Amino acid sequence: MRKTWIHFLIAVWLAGVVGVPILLRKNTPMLHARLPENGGWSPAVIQAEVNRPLRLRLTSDDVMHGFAIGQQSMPEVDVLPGQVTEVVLNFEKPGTYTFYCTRWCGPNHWRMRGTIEVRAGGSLPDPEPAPPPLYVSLGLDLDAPHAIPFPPATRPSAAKGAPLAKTFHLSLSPEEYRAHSPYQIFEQLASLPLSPAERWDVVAYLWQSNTSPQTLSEGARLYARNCAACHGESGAGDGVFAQAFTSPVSPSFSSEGMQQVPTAFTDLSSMLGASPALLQGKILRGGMGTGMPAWGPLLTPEQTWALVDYLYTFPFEFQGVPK
Amino acid sequence: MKWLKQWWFWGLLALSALAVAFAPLPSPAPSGQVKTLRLEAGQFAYRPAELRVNVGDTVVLQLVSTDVVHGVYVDGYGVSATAEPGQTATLTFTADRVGTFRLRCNVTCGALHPFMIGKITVGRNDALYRALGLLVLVGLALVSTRSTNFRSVPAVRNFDLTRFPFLKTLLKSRYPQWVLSLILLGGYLFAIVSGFVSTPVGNHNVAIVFVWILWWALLILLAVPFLGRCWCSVCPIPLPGEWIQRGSFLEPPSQQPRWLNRPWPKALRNIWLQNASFTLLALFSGVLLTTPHVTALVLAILLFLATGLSLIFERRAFCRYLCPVGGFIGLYAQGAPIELRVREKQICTTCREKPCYNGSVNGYGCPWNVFPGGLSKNTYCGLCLECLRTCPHENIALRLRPFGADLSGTLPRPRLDEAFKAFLMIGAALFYAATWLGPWGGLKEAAYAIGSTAWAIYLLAFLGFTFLLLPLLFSLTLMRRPFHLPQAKTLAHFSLALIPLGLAFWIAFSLSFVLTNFSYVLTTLSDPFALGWNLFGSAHSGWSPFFPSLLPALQIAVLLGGFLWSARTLYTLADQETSRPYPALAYNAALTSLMLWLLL
Repeated sequence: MRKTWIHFLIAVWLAGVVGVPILLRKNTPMLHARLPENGGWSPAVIQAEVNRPLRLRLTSDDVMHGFAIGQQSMPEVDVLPGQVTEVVLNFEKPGTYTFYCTRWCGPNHWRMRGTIEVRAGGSLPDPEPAPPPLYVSLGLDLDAPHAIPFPPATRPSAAKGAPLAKTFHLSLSPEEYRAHSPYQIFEQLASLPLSPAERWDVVAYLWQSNTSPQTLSEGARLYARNCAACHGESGAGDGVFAQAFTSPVSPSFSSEGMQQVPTAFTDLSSMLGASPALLQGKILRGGMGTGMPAWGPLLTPEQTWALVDYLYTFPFEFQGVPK
Repeated sequence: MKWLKQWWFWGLLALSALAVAFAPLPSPAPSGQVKTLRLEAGQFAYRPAELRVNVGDTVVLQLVSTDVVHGVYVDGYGVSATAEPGQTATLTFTADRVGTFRLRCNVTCGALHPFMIGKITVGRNDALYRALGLLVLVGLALVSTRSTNFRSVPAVRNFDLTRFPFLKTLLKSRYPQWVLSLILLGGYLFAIVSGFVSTPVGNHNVAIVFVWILWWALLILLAVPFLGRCWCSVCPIPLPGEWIQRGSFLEPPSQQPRWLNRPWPKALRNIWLQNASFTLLALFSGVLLTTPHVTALVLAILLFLATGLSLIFERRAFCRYLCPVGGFIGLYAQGAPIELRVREKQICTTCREKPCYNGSVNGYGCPWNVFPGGLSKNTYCGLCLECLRTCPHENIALRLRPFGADLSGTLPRPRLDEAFKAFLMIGAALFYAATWLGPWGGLKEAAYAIGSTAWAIYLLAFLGFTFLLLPLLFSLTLMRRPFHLPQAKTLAHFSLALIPLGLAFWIAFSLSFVLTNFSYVLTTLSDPFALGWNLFGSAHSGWSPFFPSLLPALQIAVLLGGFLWSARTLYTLADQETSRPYPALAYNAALTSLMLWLLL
């Protein structure tokens, strides 16, 4: 009798230590984050229902990742190795949402994306036709060269341009600003009795007058988080992953005829020839095989415009914006 | 007059030792300069590997991450920063503490994260210079003392634990040991399962954290130095095999099942296989120590082997001849202050049945294939206490004794396989200290990239250093005449002196590894399945090293203590051979200096 009890206890104890971890792990669904080279998100497609809270347990299987949903206001959360972050999401509209990694985890970090399919009554609506981005309605060719022939020798200064613009009563509406490159406006100012350097200063002032300190600081934040790893913290195209483009880590980086290194925003010739619409287009669409991600599904229009405004702080010297 | 001279000499030596250890060194005038340094962090090293600043500098560390999110934590200063690619972090602090401090990554950044280490030297590496100074003084003291004075130890009576009826009853009962090993078997299986099904992140997986941090800490810092083979007496690995082999969970059955019960092959009745199995694990340590499913696989293989061998061979063949851990526990158990011996050898020679070896209704014959009557050293006694249960003459005693009692050189000489175990352990400790605690990322990569050319070179270097260079140099110190290497038995005799040295190396290495990473035990304890639980409220306490400022002093004390102990052993051994211990003493001093340099 005693022997049977001992056998029973041993069996329960040993079966327990083996069975309990297996059952617990199997019955706890989790969203695993892995390096993109090792599979990225798993599962990569999540099903949800409109207005029903979606509870996700996020965990990383290797390094620190982050989680956010594209174009949504939900604050991003960190996904830590071996730990669990819980988020509860609620979707009011059916549709397909993109979730993505928010922490740089290697040169392929931006490939780490997944989708949440939110259904209403079991059906998934076709994506609503969104208004086309500005570069499309303007008919811009994103891949056309846009370097200008005679860039100024130094960064144009908005501070110097401000009194000149006042003298000549110059201003630039938001619509004009977004549709024109600095060089186009520079050309339009050719009739004024100003030296080329003074005209560039005026352009710098007009560009600054189309943004605000709040927008620029939001742009700076977005740039640091999303762009600086490749384009460099000083915008010189020398980010920590810039080498990854010269020594291909993924075959797509070496596709022929494509730009192989990240753009330097400090290059006046190319930056002054690019309109905000063109820059926004490049951000939205991505570099098509160059390693430049498509940010369209992730950033809101406001965010991309803020980013574009900020990019001009590299070629222009804005007042009160240290560079 | 002679005593006065000696008195002066020793007093002066002690004073200078105190001065070297504690005197405040004149530190260079605070520079008051701002020193901006760029520190690149990439898996799994910092570039540059070593930073140098002057005392009093305001250090501005610009931490640039080149792949994933990394951090930097400065030992001794306790300041830290985190950087992401594209977002340089700046860490500013005043370098007002002289010394060399480790930089450690404080954000889990991949498999080798716990070993991502850099160095910053503020002014001078004072701890290293003090330690080397002390080593020189200790050496001076050793050379100027007569070896006979040094080795004569005040006779300490062994303290018989089994003479207390209560303790003896407790030890004789099978239950305490059995229950403990059954709990441990559960923990062992739990670690295997967790390694396979739980998170692949090592520092949050039970298989890594509880085995390589908690168990290892208890084993090498407490169990082995103080209680010898006590781990073997409760180790769960042979348990299932033993149950099947015996046909019983606990008491000897009335009828034993008939398994093959083959005797272990004669040619393998040594610990060469244990040396090989330890070397094998050491060469895969980069993956083994960091990858949960590899650890789980190895644990499962050990369990499988132990069980399988129990069915083919008699007694505990796995423990005695194959276990990678058992080999070095046995080696270092010789220094432990505990022993199981017979009281009167005479009783054993006249004992007819010898149930301690053959078994009886009261218990099993020695599972370790040792005749207790002939026990003279701890190496192969697993402290399973079966002989205590079977001896009809109450002739078995479990005793406390002075440290290092088996190293006196008066026992039967160790064999060459045991000598090489001592070299292997010293070589492995030095290699581990360089690879896992050093700032050299290339070394870590080589050790981790199993199968690569770099790994093959690492493997050859490890084998060459451990099995050729260390024994060869040691042999050179034992030469009586130029170019006449000593005989194998002389080498084995003197290898006893390497046992305290190797144990000290392992303790010093493990102190760093264990104290730095012990906080993972607390976080994992609260979330054992990595499911986001918080059982004891410590799941989110994060990583923080334990006593980083105390660590160098502890390591110096352990290493110097080990050197002193090994010197005493060496003097005793040299006396028996009527040879001079000084060349071998220099060898030990050189290895100790190397270890000090690697760790400080």
